[in-house]
Formats: sequence, structure tokens, C-alpha cells
Amino acid sequence: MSEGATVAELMVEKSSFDVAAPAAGTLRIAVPKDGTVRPGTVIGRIESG
Amino acid sequence: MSSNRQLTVSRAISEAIAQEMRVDPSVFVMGEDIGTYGGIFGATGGLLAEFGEERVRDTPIAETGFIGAGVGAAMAGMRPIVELMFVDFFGVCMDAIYNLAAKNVYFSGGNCKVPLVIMTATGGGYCDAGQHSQTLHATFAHLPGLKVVAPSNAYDAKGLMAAAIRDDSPVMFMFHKGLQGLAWMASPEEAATAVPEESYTLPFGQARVVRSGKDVTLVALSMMVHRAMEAAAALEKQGIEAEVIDLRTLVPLDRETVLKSVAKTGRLVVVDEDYRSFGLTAEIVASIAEEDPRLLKAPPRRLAVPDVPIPYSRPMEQFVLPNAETIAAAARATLGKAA
Repeated sequence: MSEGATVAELMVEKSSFDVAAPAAGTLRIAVPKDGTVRPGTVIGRIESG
Repeated sequence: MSSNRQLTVSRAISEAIAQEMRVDPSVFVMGEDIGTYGGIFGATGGLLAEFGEERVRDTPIAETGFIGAGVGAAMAGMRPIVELMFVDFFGVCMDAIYNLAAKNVYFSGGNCKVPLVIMTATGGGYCDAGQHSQTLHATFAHLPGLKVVAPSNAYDAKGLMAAAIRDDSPVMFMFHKGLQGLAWMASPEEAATAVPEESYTLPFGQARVVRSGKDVTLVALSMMVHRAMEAAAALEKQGIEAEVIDLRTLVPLDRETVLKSVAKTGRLVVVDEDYRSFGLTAEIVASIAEEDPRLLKAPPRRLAVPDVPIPYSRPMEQFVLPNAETIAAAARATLGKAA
């Protein structure tokens, strides 16, 4: 992933938000597509290098 | 680094538009809620922020006015992309579409170009009833002078939109709401695809064989491509290999690819979410019959919405829409097997 690229789209009560990658690197997805999360849940990790 | 990012159909469309707008200042977008809101089906997301109000214009609820304005702007040298929010709303602006946009290239002896894209949302299945769920592929395909494009996935959507914008004649870009990949309306897995970051076009009049098979040809467009693929998966478990063709564009229509497939399988099922009579399914069957009816080993089957207004009631709506089960049953019928 490159920094700033859209990692995921989050929907909260019909409003959608794009989550941008904070850094470049390899994305490890923690919550799969269509998963439900609470604030604070880790949805993925980016490993640089 | 080349990206393996996935895009939803809605993002693929808005990316195609943005990339054309970056290189050609005559491209602009107009329509209801396409600016601040980004399009109620997400097709113009991010455009207002990047290009500003002069080039991304929210209109009043006045299709009669702004579709006509789009035709005029196209003839005056601009390249407008005008959104008709729901295809069902064409009634109030159809004269501008089929008598002006569609015919002025001809009436001017080719001296006037009409490089207009009308993008519009089609399709039902989510209880939006008779005036918000129609598909109307045939309505626009039937009248001469319009190109008609209906992608089934994000990769096709981006390439076909770019081609539509660059076309000097009017194009109806018909996108199915249920394929857009909106957070609030579920879409098939396969609608979102990997989409190249660079700009590219896809040619009109070139269907795609999505799945190869020797036993029966399933021809579909837009959302019905996904239903046909589901049917093909079910048929495979019964030892039937279905070939699935995604027409991609209705005008121009790739009859060649369909003919080649039916010559191979001998059996034809056509699926369309538009009304049954006088439409796409009939056109495909007629095209085979007038070429060589002996290609068909069994009567062809057509699946489409019956000639009724689309019901609001969920079970009634689901009854009228073609689905994987009814498609598979039709395929089995062409093979003489019990449905």
C-alpha cells in the first residue's frame, strides 16, 4: 500500500468514510470485508519495509 | 509499485470521470446531488472537491431543463456528463435525448457533434417500486442514434465510462444501483474488481465471455451477468457446463460473440432485468434466428421481468426478477432435463 491510499470504507448509520493508509508498506487485514467493528478496533496493520 | 487495489463500481466510474476531467477542460458534470453529495449512487464522489462548482454542477429537480442544457452544451463544444438520477425519470426529458441528442449528428450531416454522456441508475430488487426500479435497456437501445452501455463490474465500468466521455456521439451509460458497491446496498462479490490506476478505455460492441462452457449459452447484461454466473455454478454441480456472455454494450451489440457461442452449444438462454416483451432478450433470439435457426438444438429461453409494473411488495418483486434458480431451470429445460 502507498501512504494515503484508501484502505477501507467504513459505514456508520448510512454515512460512509474512507480510511486512508497512514504509511506505506504491506497491509495485514485484521477485520475482513463486511465486518462490524467498534471504535478502537484494529482493522489492519501496515508493515513497512 | 503496481497496485492490486480493488475498486467498487461507483469509485471506478468517478475515477474515470476525474481522469478525463484532468486532461480535458471541456468535460464537466451536471445533475441532481452529484456535487456535494457525490451522487446518490456514489458515481461522482470526490469530483466537486477536486474540480469546483463551475465544472461539477448540482441542478434543481428539473430534468427537462438540465438534460436539454446538456445537449446544447455538447453541441456548443463542451463534453458534458449529465446524470439522470433514476432511469425511470426519462419521461420528462426524453425529447431532448431521443429527438435532439440522438438525431442532431445526423440532421446536421455530421457537422455537429453531440459528445454527451447521460449516466443513469437502473435496476431493482430492494423494494423501490414501479417508478424507481426499472432497467429500460431496450427503451434507449431501440431508438436510433444513442449508444447504450451497461457494465457489470468495476474494471469494465471505468474503461467504458472513459470511452463514453471521449465519444463524439451521445452515450447512455446505464449503471445498476445494486452493482455500485454502496455501503447501504449489498452488491455481488464480483462487481468490485482490481482496477488499473492509469486511464484506459474499452471498446463498445465487444462482449466478454465471462465463463467458458460447451452445453448452454447464457447471455446477460449488467446485474444479470452475476445471476447467470450463480446459475452456472449451480449447473456445474449437475455436470452442465454453461457459457456466460456479458454483452457489456447494447448499442453497438456484439452479435458475433453470441452467434459463435450458440454455434458451439446449440442452446440459448437470454437474461435481462428489463421488461420481457419487445426488448433485449427478443433481439438476441431474433439475431440468432435470422442468421441460422438450425444452430439451435432446442427452443431458446428468455428470462426477463414480465410485462407488469415492478411490485413494491418484497415477495412479489422477488418473484418477477430473474434469479439464479430460474436461470438454471431455463438452462436445464433447453437440455431437455426436468426443471
